[in-house]
Amino acid sequence: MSATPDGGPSHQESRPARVHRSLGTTLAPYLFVLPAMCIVVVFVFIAALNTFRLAFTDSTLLKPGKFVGLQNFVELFHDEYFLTALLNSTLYVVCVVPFMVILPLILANLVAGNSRVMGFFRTSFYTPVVMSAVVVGMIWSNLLDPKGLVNSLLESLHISKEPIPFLSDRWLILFSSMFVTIWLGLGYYMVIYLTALANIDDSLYEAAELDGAGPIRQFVSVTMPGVRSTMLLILMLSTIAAFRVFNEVYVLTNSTAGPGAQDITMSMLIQREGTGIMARTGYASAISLVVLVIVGAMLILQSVVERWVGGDNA
Amino acid sequence: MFSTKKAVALSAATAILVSLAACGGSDDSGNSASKDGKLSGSITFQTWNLKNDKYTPYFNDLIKQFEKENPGTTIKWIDQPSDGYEQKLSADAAAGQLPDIVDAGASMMYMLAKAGILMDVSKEAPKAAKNYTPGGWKAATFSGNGVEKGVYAFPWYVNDGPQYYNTEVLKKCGVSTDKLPKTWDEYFDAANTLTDNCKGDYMSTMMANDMGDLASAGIKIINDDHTKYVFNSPKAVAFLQRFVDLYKKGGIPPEALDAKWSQQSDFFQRGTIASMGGSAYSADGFKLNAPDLYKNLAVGPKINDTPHSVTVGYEMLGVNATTKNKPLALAFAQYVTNSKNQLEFDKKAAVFPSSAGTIDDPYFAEAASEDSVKGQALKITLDAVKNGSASRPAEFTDSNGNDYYGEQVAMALQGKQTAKQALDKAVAFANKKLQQK
Amino acid sequence: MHRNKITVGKVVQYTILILMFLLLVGPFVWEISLALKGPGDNVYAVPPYLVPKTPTLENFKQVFRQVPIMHYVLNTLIVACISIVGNVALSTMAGYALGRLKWKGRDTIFTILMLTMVIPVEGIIISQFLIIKSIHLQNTLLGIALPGLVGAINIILMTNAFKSIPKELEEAAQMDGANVWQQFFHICVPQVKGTMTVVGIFAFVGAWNDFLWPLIVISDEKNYTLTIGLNRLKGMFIQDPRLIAAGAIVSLLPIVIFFACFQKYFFQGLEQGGIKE
Repeated sequence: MSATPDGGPSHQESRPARVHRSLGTTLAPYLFVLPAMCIVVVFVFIAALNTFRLAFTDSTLLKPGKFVGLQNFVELFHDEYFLTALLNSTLYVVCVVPFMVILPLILANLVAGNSRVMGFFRTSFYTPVVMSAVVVGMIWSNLLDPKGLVNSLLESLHISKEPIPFLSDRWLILFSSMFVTIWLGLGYYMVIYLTALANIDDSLYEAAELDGAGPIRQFVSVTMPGVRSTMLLILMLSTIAAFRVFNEVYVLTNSTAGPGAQDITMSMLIQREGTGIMARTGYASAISLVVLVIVGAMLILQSVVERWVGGDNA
Repeated sequence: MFSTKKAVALSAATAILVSLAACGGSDDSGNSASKDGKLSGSITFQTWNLKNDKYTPYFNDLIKQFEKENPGTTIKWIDQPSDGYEQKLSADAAAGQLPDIVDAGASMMYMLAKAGILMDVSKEAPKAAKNYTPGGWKAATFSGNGVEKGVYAFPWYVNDGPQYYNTEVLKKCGVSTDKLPKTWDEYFDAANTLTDNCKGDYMSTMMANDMGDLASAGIKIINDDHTKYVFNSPKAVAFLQRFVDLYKKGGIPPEALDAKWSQQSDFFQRGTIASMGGSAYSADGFKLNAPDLYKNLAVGPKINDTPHSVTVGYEMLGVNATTKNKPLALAFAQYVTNSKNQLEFDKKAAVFPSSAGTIDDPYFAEAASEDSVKGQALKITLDAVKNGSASRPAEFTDSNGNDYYGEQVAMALQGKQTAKQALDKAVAFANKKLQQK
Repeated sequence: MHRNKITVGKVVQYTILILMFLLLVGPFVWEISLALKGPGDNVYAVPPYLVPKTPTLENFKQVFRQVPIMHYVLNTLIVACISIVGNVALSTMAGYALGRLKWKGRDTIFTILMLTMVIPVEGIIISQFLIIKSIHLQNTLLGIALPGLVGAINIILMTNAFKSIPKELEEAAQMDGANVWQQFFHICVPQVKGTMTVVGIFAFVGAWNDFLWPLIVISDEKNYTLTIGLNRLKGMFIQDPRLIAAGAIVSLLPIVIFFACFQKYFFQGLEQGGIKE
């Protein structure tokens, strides 16, 4: 039992016999998180506190405002765009999250393995993630155009007679964006699943195979339980990402959020109000706060359901 | 979550084209400043997306020449990339580190002026006015709604452009190519003919979602003292209604409802629309990217019911009010915008001058007499900028009305509200924004 | 690795993989084709075609001529390296404390981290810039890297990875008298190397592709990162999509190569940890 070099004086009233070790041990967790928390506190937390304060003022970017109480929030609930954004962002969560949790897992399962072929597939599936959003937008706008590849293909296969207005219909824009989100997310979450898959003991598969389980049953009875905590993690991550969706809608609509801005999302609304020379930072902060509360509530709901459905896995 | 999020937030490629162009100073302005006191020290001069093969030599020579004429001065030239310019300006302004001289269009200048960051150059350089065209000087003059009346930038280059046509599409759809439309009546005739004959092809993406469309139909946008918007007049309602009817008939591409400039150009180059408004230099772009289209390219003036062009865009140089070297900043901003230097820049970029008298330089007439699409485009643009003006008030920025207006028009076209509702809502919104501090 | 031997299964597997390949990589191929198209090609042709009629490398040459690519790549690499080291080290440490140790305030810290992911960047970027300015790091590469030095998502990934290590391993080490620091370095870290690689890759991609933040922090061209530098290819007056595509390819290649080199490490956690019996 050796003392840790980092163990400094402690005010903990540990029993003398154990002081030697517990200095390091009790302090250790705090020392481990300290560097990371410094960065988070300075660059996110302080900035976010500022947001919290601004939400109750009528500040603009270049002119400090005065305290206006709940006025921003009152205005918010009369803002036609806010209600549209709330609807769109919520729909995004509902439609995108299930795909994000399941599809990348299936994909990860298909490309797991050490062979060169699988390495090639893994790399290629990751390429959408590394493309800049501008490029992604450019590519998909072209593909989904009335005269673009997708419509040409559908017409030549006689699936549709007229071009499908992927980029001009209020709902189709939203669904096209969701598709692009999933397209982008597949590679991203696949990578996270891959590390989880690597942790599943091979002997479990061997045992299942001996029991006569086919690939699908193995997937359900070995893979799914094995990556349960990762699934929950991705559930949370993709919920946050989906509610905050910005890029995909922004680029597919050329920054305009669709005809009449009917496809606006919460993040786009924040960007619209909160950036630029005449940014209404106070109002934008109020929206940010609402987003924080809603997503916070979603996460709490998920963890409650998780505890209710299954035991503690950690 | 995806690392690229921020990148996109900025891809306001559209913003680039919102404002181009302006006026300039006369040749003695740079020297006059140095007569009363010797210039010294250094300043930072910021342009927007002008550092590349084509323009870098121009700016390097310009600066070298200025530094030679004014020994002991140093001009630091920085250039911001295409995307995210307003964000960059706003972050620098918030941090109190805006460059001494900044390049921007009328809208951004207005916002900076409203925030009290720009110098009133009519006070600091009272003699400068005569060096610029009245139109250019007026474009940089802001007042009201919290802005003390003044001139907040030196006019630099100006731009406007013709209407381009794809004759192949026109012919295919039974529209005569001998007489291209000039007025809105003629335009609607042509658009209706085209729509009747061809399904899936469109005349253009014009739909009154732009202040230029309204102004060119002779509709008043804002009252004279700039305190209230008035573009919800019966005349405006009737004008918008014509587009609503055309849309219903299938004469405006639905994609255009949320399209900005960049997409319009894609549509045109792909042959989906028969016509688009462009600039004098657009022809070069078509030649490069869509050689097939270029073979069938025709050019005419912008659709306009009024005697003068109303779609001139002004680019300007503002001087930071808190600059540490006021004499040098004022002198150099005037030097860049003087007649000689504007002319040189205009030649390089196919844009036009805002300095007094420069447009009469034989160069422009010569270039415009060239027998090519580009020559014709230059000629039309030349006529347009000579007597033209901007239709969009500087106050009507993207966030303070323009975007919202476009959205309301889109909803009207879709039949989700009437033309009158759309215009009333847009006017109410923009009037409210006008009061915002 | 587990793999079934049924042929039908293989056929299905490869069919899906190839379809996914087309779907996920197809657009990238289109981008390459665009970058190779010469002046004789109509880039707006309907229907679009893939094989350039006048193939040329001129666009790439133009990109290298107009933008000092190597200089910007070097800047970006510096930022990316700081970001990778920071994220891997800091989130591994924090993840260990959050996922493996019991201490007062753990849940609070974890909740705070979760919430920071919800805060919209658009809303705080100016505040961040003012902080960077107040510590005089504006216009430096370190200033670009600092706010991204540790991402909440990476801490959470590491926390999750540490949670999944079997308890027996540590218990055995404790019996041997290892203290918490020894357990961290010798027992736990080797188990999560796969996730550490993922964190490194995420950090690299994030630093490589970021645009708005570097743009705001940097005002001097000599400190530009690649994304800002390549944005110059968008002309003020005339745009050439071929040139922009070539620029995009140039900026993508390093990440694809980086990923291709490191992806096999996702699988090494288990083998190196030696839990297999």
